Amino acid sequence: MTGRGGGRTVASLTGALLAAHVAAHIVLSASGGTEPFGLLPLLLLAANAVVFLLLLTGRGEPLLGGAVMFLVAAHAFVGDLVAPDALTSGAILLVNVLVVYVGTKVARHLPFRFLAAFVASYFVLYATFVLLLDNAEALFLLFLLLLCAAARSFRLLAYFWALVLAFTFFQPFAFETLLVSWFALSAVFGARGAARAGLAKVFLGAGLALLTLVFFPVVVSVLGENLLNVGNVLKDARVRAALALTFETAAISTGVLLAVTVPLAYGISRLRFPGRTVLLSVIDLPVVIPQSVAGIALISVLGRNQYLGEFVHGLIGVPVDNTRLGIVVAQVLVSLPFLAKAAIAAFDAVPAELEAVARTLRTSAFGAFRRVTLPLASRGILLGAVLAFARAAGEFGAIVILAPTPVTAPVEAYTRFLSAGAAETAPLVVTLLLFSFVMFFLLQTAIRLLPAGAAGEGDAR
Amino acid sequence: MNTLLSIEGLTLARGGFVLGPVSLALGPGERLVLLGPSGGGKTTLLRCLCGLAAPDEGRIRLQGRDVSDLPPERRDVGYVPQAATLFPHLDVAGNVAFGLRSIGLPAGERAARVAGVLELLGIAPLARRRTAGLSGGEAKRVALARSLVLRPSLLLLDEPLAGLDGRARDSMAEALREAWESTRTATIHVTHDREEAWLLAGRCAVMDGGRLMQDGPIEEVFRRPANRFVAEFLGGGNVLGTEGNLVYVRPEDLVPAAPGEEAHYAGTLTAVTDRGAFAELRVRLPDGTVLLARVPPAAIRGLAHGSPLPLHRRAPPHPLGDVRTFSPFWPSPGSPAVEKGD
Repeated sequence: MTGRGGGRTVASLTGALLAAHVAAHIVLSASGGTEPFGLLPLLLLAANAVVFLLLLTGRGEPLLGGAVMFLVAAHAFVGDLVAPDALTSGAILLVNVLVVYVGTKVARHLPFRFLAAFVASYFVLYATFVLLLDNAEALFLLFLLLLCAAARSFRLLAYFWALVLAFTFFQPFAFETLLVSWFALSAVFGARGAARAGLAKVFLGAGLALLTLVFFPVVVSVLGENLLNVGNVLKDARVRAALALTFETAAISTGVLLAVTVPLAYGISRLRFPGRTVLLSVIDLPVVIPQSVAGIALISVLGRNQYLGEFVHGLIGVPVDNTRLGIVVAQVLVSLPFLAKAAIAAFDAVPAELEAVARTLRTSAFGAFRRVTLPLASRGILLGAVLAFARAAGEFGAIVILAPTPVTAPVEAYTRFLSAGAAETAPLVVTLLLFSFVMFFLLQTAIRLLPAGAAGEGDAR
Repeated sequence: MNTLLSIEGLTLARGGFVLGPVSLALGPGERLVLLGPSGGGKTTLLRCLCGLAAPDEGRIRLQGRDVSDLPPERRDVGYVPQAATLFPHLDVAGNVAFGLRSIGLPAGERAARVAGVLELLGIAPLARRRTAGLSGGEAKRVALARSLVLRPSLLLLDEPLAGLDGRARDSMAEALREAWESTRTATIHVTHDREEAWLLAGRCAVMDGGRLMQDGPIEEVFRRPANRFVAEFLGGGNVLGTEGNLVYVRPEDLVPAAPGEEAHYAGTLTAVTDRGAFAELRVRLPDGTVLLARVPPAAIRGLAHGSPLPLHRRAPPHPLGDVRTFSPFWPSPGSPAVEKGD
């Protein structure tokens, strides 16, 4: 809403600027401050006159034009003082003209907060790279260009600042920082919820920032490792045997757990009985007790020369300690809560009324369980099974006490660390990290992709 | 006349609530509306009949067979709960075929039965739909089809019209009627809505506090309520007289007295409500009783709040019995409406 009066004010303002420019030129030339008819000052003067005429005829943006004239004048007379050479001075002038141009665009087309963020960013960059750091003017200009590119969206601005901070203050781990922070930012900015989900997004961002601290070592060690080394580790027969054993025992443990906990969880979910709360706490116990304690408890009952251990040995001809059986026993114990809790929650989520209706449809109690409850709970149970499998495969404390041989992957990593140190174990650690993560991720994704009720019924398709 | 279902002295106590003793009989192909306020034990009675609840005492006989101790799947009773509770992992046809799979029907026959019942209820186009996307009325039809396809000898419907909007409600009532006419399955409908009772069936049993209050043809129950509770629940009031000597005046029998007509009641008009098809007048008598009159909408013209209004009663008042003394045993359908006393 600039009326003719406002236009005239700006025109006279630019006129005043031009007059001041000319006056300063004359004064500075007369006092010998600059070369009186140097090429550059004259060119600048001419450019300013053109800008002035453009503004008078109403073709340019008055604010932008005025600001550019001011910048040009300021640089002509003080640019030499701050910049080491004419080339740098010119570059600074050009970039600043760009900044002013973008600033006026932002001011005209976007809400005020964008302009505030833009200006604040500019001065923080200036403080960081011109005042705080030495010889960083080139970086300042480079980042200013990026800032101009990012000014129209807070999302781009956030990525921009993550980049600046990563490369300025997290130098040895710049790429890792950048990766993690950009992941967090894209999660926050990509988040969709109800119309006013601002608080949830702020919480998500804060949570991710804290989580980042936890995952930082993982990301650093994975990105820092040479993939070739990982390949070499996988060629090592000992490692391969350890991985295979881990996979095998964890699979057996998960199978055992499924057979035991699914019926138990159904009973716990459907019934209220004395001691139910105690039972639920007991199921949680393996999460609570230290794994070393669990291992010692196991070996003091199931170990050699212990009554129960000898009994089992006599019964099936295999001792518990230092065998696969011992590994499975330890894994089953520590991963029990993960599957049991998930299965109870999954059964809780299936309304009992569905079973009741199934019963009135000439279906037996077991038929209702098999054809209604189990399919509807299957996804939750399978997710719990994946978690239990991962927990079993990763178990170290109880296994190293009850059955350190045969050697599973976590035990192998530990013995290597003890004999060769952290640096030598790094490739193996990274291999195990990647292996666990990829397997876990794939299994979870596969189960999430299942339709809600797993498979429907035969001719329903 | 033979009896399909007979309930004898059924009782069930859960916490503070006591159902029964309830005795009731139903003939083959008969339709009964079980009407009563929420929390009156209607749903509990249905769940006892289909075997989902175990009564403390009493016997349930179905086709001469004592089914009291049989599990639900061996009772031959269909039950459609108030919420449709469809199986979310199966499509519409899968839901309807559920019971047929349980009884081991061959696939070809199964498909034919499913198609037949979907056709009957007008939901054949929905066969391959997921249950999640169905409207309330569609879901209720699927639930009905799922029970009906098993050809039960008794069908229990819990609030089949509840939660549906006006049009869906009428068309669901129509679907229920058509289904009944083509299958002649003996049916008990449970509802708390007295207008629904008219939409559904000819015989009506009123239930409150776990006990049957009255049982008879619906016109009879509405016209001649057995006791104060039924009169107030169905008629909306108009119980006069003193305890032990109560009478009921139907709101439909009251009209503003025309000149020369006998004015049975004289009071002050306190409210006029036009309900479209009819209008309701509330008249406060000198002793503080408020009478309700249902009149044609044209009859309210010129009536002003607060003005004196004499009412003419077109039929004699109906004497009411004691709530406690009514203990029906309905031996066979088609008998006189109300039987009182033991």
